[in-house]
Amino acid sequence: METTDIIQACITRDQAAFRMLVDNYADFAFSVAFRIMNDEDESKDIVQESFIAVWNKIEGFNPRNNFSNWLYRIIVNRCYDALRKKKRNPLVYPDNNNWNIPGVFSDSNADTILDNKETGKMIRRLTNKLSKKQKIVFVLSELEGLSREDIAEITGMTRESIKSNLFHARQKIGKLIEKYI
Amino acid sequence: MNKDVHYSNLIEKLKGNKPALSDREELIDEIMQKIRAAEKRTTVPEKLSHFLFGWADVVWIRGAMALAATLFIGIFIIQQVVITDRINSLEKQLVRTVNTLQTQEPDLGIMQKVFLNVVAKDQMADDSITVSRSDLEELLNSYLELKKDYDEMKENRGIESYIQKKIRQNLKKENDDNELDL
Repeated sequence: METTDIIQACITRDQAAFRMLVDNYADFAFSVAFRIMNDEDESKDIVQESFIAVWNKIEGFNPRNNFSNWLYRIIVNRCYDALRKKKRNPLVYPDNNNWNIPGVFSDSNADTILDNKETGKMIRRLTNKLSKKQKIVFVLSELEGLSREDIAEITGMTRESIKSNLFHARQKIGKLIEKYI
Repeated sequence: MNKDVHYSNLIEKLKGNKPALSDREELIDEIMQKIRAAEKRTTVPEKLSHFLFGWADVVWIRGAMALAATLFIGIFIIQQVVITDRINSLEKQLVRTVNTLQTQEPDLGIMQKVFLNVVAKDQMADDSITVSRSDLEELLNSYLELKKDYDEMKENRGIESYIQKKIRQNLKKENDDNELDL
């Protein structure tokens, strides 16, 4: 069954079709949320909230539009809110200053398989000094590989703002790398 | 190895390691349970409202309605402009007619004057008077009667005999008065 047909069925409040939709996009949603939040439990909560929002708003969605971008937008908005709350009550990660990950900077280990904990630790360490916007733009552009047009559609930011946030994010991460090599 | 190469390696490493979702089925079941619970909580008025107005959530219907509304508003504005323009044009015509009548005083029949007085009452000078319909009818009837008599007299050359008769009457009256004085 095509995504368009599944969405069409979801619009008519077909729960079986919605289960299919969640099944198809759960990994994708978790991946995006985790790369922004760097925490499994928080990311799962965001995935849940996002899919509930999808169910509540799907009647207003045009099936001919890009569903992935719409889902991205819902997830990113929830992540942004969660990051804002987190800033008010910051969590302490004891490993923040420790690059104890095998072959972090070596090109010989490009295929090294990292588990969620290690990936989360690495992204958290890299993006620790970034603002919320810089972090989101960095994740969407560098890790998710989205174009600036798509990022603009998802975040509602202008292209200039995306360019500037990405530039500052790269600069800060570059300085961090310089410090540790 | 420079900073950019390290940066690229790091990004490639992170890109290649997609976070894996553990307890997938459990998470999906939880989402579905929450949705079912939310659906059950939907009250009767909400269901009724959704049944009656749910179509408004359909994107193409909403777009079409917005377009139709814009079209109707546009037509309404154009119609108002045309009507206002027409009223202004008629008003100007009426004022021009009344002004012409007041300045040139053309030889119009009483009926036309009365008609203009009724129609263009608002455009008349402030010292104009108001007369009742019955007075006006009486006035018109008297005028028409007099006009008829006058025309008849003119046609029958009866005016001369009428004047002579009047003169005689006056002379006789004067003589009678003189005799009384003597």
